Amino acid sequence: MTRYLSGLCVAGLGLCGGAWLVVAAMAFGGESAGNAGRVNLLTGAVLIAVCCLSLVCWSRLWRQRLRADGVLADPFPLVSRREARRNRRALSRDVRRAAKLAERSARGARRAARRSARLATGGALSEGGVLGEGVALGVASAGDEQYGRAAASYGAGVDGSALNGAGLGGVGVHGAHDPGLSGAGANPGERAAELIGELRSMLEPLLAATGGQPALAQQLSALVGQPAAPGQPSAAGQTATAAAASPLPRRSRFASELRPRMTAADLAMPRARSAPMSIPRLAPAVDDSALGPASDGEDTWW
Amino acid sequence: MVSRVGLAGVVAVFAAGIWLVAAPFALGYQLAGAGWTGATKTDVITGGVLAVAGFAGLFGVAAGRVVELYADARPAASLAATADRENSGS
Repeated sequence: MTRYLSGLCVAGLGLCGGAWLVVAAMAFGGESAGNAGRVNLLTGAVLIAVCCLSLVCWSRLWRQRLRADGVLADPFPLVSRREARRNRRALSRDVRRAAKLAERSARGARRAARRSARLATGGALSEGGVLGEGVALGVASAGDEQYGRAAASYGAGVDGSALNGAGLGGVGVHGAHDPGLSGAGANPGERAAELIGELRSMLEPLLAATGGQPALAQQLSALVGQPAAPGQPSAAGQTATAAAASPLPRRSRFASELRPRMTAADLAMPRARSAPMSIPRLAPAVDDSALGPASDGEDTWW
Repeated sequence: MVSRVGLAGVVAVFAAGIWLVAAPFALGYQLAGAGWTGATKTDVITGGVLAVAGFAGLFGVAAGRVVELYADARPAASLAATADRENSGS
């Protein structure tokens, strides 16, 4: 700071001296002073110019230093209109791109939720999906080769309804006939029930998230067998009694209304429903970008 | 660049002061042995003030720069000392 102050003081003093020289030459001597007057005038003018330049330089240097030290805040950059327009366009383009990305990810999430809902309602059991694999692998881990093969058949999943349906039916049969099947001493049916229960607990938030779409709710309810509206007939009403008699986990009162009421045991019945099951095409929502109501478990999923 | 121009301004003030003191005698409008005219007095007094101010300014600028160099070197020296201490300790 010392040098800036010194420079500024000297420049200011030089400015005053130059002004004094000019004034003295004009006021006290003028043209009559001859050589002295001209020297004073010239020296004064040069001194004024040099000291003005020096003042500007020292003040700029000091401001730079203060800005570097954080004492002075950076001024707003002066932007031309063209630059401002360009910045505005780039900003709106970025915002649009971000919105598209968000919309795409929301659509993907919704699609995943629908897929999970389909799996939970039993579509996967006849298609070799995740649920079927989970059941097959869970059984195969007990150490039985037959169930290993069953798992392989689930993994292949070529002929969905027939092969996997038979395979799943076989789980129950083998579980009943082979007491050494369950590694931890549990019935394979119980293990499958546990797995399905875990899957259901994981799928609850997804189902709750899709609950905001009426078309999906209607189709899901038609799938599950629960009447979507009071006046509509149930598509598969036979599942209520089977669910009541099933050893599978029961619905809690916090469960979503869209949670499937059909249990895995019901679905494992070979021809309880017409085969092959057609996967319902979900009607696209009017505003696809609108998300459903958020549930408590939604954040843990996305 | 800017600091050089500023420093050149201080040097110019000092040089202008010297010039103003010497100008009456150098240009001959103050005769040797004669009493000083008003213009000579003005030039010498103004030149003297400017020369002293310019010299003080130069001195102040140099001193300020040296102080800044010392201030910048102090943290580096303390860091180096700390690193040396850690190296010798380990």
